[in-house]
Order: sequence, then C-alpha cells, then structure tokens
Amino acid sequence: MAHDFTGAALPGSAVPETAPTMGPSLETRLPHLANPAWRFKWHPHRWQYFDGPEGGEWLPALGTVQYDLGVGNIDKGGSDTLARVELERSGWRVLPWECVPPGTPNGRYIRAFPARGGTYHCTAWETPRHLGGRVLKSETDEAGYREFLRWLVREGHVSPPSEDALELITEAQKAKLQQVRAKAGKNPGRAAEAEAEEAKTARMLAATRAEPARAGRKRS
Amino acid sequence: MANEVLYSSSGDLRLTEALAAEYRLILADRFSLMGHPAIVYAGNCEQSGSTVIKVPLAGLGGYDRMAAVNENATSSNTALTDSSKTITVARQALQRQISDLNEMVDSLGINVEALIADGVGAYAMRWMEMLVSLVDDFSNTVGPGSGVDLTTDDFFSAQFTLMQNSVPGPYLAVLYPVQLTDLLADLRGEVGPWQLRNDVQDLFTAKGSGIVGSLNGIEIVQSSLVPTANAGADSAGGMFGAGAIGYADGLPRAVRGAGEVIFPAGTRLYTEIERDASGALTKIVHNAMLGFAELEDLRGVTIISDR
Repeated sequence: MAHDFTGAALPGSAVPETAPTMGPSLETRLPHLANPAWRFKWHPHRWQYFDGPEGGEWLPALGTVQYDLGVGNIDKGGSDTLARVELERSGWRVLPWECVPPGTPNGRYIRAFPARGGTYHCTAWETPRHLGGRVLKSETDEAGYREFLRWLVREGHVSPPSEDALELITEAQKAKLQQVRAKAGKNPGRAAEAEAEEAKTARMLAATRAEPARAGRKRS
Repeated sequence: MANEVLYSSSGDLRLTEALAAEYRLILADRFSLMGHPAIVYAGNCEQSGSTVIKVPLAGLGGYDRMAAVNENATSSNTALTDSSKTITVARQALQRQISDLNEMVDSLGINVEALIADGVGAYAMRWMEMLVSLVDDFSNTVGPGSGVDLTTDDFFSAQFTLMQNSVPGPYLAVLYPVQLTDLLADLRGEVGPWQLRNDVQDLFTAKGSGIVGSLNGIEIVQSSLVPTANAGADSAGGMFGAGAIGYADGLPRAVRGAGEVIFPAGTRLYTEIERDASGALTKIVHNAMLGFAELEDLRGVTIISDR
C-alpha cells in the first residue's frame, strides 16, 4: 500500500502540520500609505471663516509640523529644536499632542493606524475609510473638530483673532465678491452664486464685528 | 468524436498562466518638480561642518531707497535689514533585497538592474513629497471655506495675494487633484474675455498628473501628495513665487569599503550594492541627503478647499 503522507506527522520525524501564514490582513492594516507623525501649529494670521445659515464664526486655520526628517528643520534624529526656533521666529506656536479638551479619546489630537509601509497618522476627528483595498476620503467629525478649535481659543491656547488679521481676510473676501458680481453681470446664470456670496460676505462681516465681544475667552 | 486534445486536458503541456512580455507600472503619482527654477537650491553641506545650511536674506537691491538730501547736508547711515532661514539636511533611503534564485528566473526585467534604476524615481518622488508638505506652511491663506470647492475666484485671490506682496514671478500653484478638477469645473462657467485665452482653454486638455497647464502665467501642478487640512475635510495646496521654498542636499565625499557604488547623474542620490553570499542575496540601498524648508513666508499663500 502507498504511504499516506496526509494527517499525522511522518514516522520518525517531529514535524507537525502547520497552518499557512499570512501577513496582516486589511482588518488590521490600512491600505493608506504611511505618513510621519505631526503636531498642530497656529499663526496669528491664519484664521478661517466657518459659515452657517444663521451666521458664522472665526476659527483658527491650524497648520501642521511634519516630523519628517529633513523637512522644515526636523533634524537627522527627529529633533524639532531648530524647527521650533524657526517657527517661533516666524510667529507660529506649536501645540502639544495633549492640548485637547477633556474627554478626547486617548487624550491626544493625533491617531495612528498600522498602514502600508508603516503607520498612518491622522487627527482624532478623522476616521480613515477604504473599500475594496481602495483608499477613500476620510470621514471627518466636522462638528467635533470645530468644537476643538473653539476650545483652543476659549482656553487661551490660541489667541483670539486680531482686527488686523481679520481685516486682511475680509478685504480679500470683498475683492472676491466684486469678481463674483462682475461675473454675474456677464452671465445671468451665476446670479444665484453672486447672491450667495453677498450673503456670506455679510455674515462674515457681522461675525467680524461681533468677534471682540465674544464672551468666555481667556486671553493668553 | 473522441480523444480530442483539449486545453483542459493538456495540463502537462500547458501553463496555467504565462507572463506578458513586459510589465506595466501600477498607477501612482510619479511627477516631481525636481529642477524647477521656482524652488531655490541653497547648496550642499558637503565638508561644511554642519548638516544645517543657513540661507541669508539681505535687504539689498532696492529694498532701501535713496532719499533726498540737501545740497550741503550730511547724509546718515541706513541700517541694513537682514534675516536668515535654515535648512536641515537628513538622510533619505530606500532599500531592497533580491535573491539570486529570483534574479535567475527573471524574464521581465524585474532584476537587480531594475531595482537600481528605481532609485532615481524614488528619489524624485521623495524630493516632491518633501517640497509639497511645506505648501501648507504659509501664514497667508485663501479659499472658499472648509468643505467648499475651489473656484477661479479663489485662484485669483491667491494670485492677488502674491501680487500685493510684490512677489516676483513666475508663480507656481500646487493643487490636490480634487482641487484642480473643482477649478476646472468652475472654469467651465467663466464668460467674458478671459475664457478666450489660450491658456484657459488649454487647461481642459487632459494631461494626467504633473504640470497640467497654466493660468495667467501661473504654472499649475497636480500632486496627490498635497497635505490635508481641517481634519481631513480639506486640502492645503499652495501658490508661491521663486524663493518661497528652498532645499539643500549633500553627497558623501567617498564611500569607503563599499562593494559597488553608483551615482546617478543629475541627482544627489548614491546607490550601493551589498552582497550576502551566504544567503544568496543582493541588497540595493539608495541613500540621499536632502532637506527642505520655507525661506520667505510672504512669497507664498496656502489654498485651502474641499478635498
């Protein structure tokens, strides 16, 4: 009878049958490309207007310091000393990871996931999405992120916007409105766009006027 | 009929699958602005004593103007305004290892030579990645608002910001692909003399990634490496003039003890080949020393719009 190699280990050997091994599946590793860790940074000129049907608000437009060796003076060992010096000379302020409202998951504004080629870092208000191995735009908790920005201003981690900074932005908005009006004059189909932009500009200016009187802010 | 020689019964005579004669590249962003004149080359740090290069910024060449002085009056000194920015160089690397067995059976060109040649593309894209990660660093920002598509008006706002800061051209705009398609979509609704310009019409011609055209003399670059803003809801592209961003690099003077070292022309990349005879493996290590930093903030503007 021919020897049956299936099932039990071969006689005279201790080699057990093993299950095939696989790399991390998509359930444990994102198909996103790895990216470096980062920290938020803030500049007194960087403000953005978040519009709403009942009125809008001015919130900081945060940038990021990428902890990527060789980028923005992050040195060969990952030290950000020189990077911080250059940033602070230019008026930026770097926010530590723990600068988040109480109750923020993990107590940090950054999250990390195993991903293709290393770790994918995103904000605490993002949920990376993928489908069929294809990377999709992350789902963003916009309300949560805006509340975080409000908290930063309220708690004094970010100074409230100065009139000069807002004037720079509102003047640019007025110039943009002029362009939109001119286009609507030539193309009646864009009249609705011009009306929307007029209304947005009015709300922006109202929010600007209301800015100094916003209560509950601690000045740093 | 019987005993036909069918494909399904010719398992010993046929292959389950055969390789095509050549391989195709997987879809990816492969465009780099390496060599573009808008990006300042600050030099190399070879034999300089530091991995940090300080770029001096001097208020000369018309920064201070002459002033009227009376015929017999004594003129006085005008202070020289100066500043500086630093660029720190760090090592960048890509390593691969291929076995002799795999090299031996290669029929496509995926072999040691291909892995060596891959270093140039890897270097160029790393260069681009380091550049693009800085376009979010300008203190001036324009945009339609978080979650709102980019429009031609925002493009003009960015251009006006640079013009108002007296930034000399040519300008370069780096946009995320969605930002670019949003711009094109809005461009379709433009009327008036601007729509008749050749550069405006030419922008609609599909060109893939990279430099997709120009508007008002501003070269527009599409890059999927543009960073996000507002917790991933938006993209932070940018528009800048020459002198906004600079880079520095370096090349080791001599790589002692190396097996084979290749220095691809036109780059600061060096590739070493290391042999592991006992494992029958060939290791290809690409190394480069590279650093990027923002040089002058007012020369650029960040464009934030829906991603």
